[in-house]
Amino acid sequence: MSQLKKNKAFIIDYFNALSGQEKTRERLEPYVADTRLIDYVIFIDSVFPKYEVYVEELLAEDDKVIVRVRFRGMHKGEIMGFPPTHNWVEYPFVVRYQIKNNKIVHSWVIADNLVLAEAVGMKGIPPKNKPDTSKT
Amino acid sequence: MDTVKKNKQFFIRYGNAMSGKPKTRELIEQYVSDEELTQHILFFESVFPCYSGEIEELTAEGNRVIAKLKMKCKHEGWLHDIPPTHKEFETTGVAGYEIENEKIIRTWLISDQLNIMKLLGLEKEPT
Repeated sequence: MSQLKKNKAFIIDYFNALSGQEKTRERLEPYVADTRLIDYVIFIDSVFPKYEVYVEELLAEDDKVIVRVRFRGMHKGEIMGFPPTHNWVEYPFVVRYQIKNNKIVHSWVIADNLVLAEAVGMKGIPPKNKPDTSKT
Repeated sequence: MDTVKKNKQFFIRYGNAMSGKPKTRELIEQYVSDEELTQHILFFESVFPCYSGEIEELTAEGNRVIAKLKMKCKHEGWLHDIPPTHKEFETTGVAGYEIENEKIIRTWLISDQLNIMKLLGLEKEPT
């Protein structure tokens, strides 16, 4: 199996091991050597216990795997100053992993946190009237 | 040259042609055949004229390219219900592209819109 295929299979295993499960340090450490990522996943799991992640797109190049993901979890802990709502929250994010010796050594995440914030209780911006220029 | 390299080179040419320049339909259509993306670019150009995008990271496989982009914008037009603030800001987003015959035929974009609201001074605190 090529290294690209191995890296993709590794990330799919990682998602399958975590999705819908409690994300403990012991469960993460076989896959992740990046302590920032471990702390982040444990924090998100404290807010959305046993959250689920679904792979929507996955690309691999060199030692990198980039994944477009759909997140689903129930809001049971405080986040961004918002107390638990017990709402189901779904939002998209992209995560890029760098893999060395079958471990994630570095990652970044970009998420649409506006979708997340609105789902956990942030009210939208009050509309202001756009000037009517059609009559000028 | 293999498809992945060709698509990366095409994407870099597209980025250079668009970044920091007025984005007209004529310019966009040289690179894009996805009408939804064309409309999206024209809308953002009306809100953030001549916005620029710097490629921070590019990953490609088959006919797909995913780019991490640092966008520099100045808020000069109505953004839905939000009037121009004339503020300048930088934000990072990720976009995926499907490329066929040197044209973008499909795309998606994920950016942190909450961060953009904060940068524009429009964030609502928890109540």
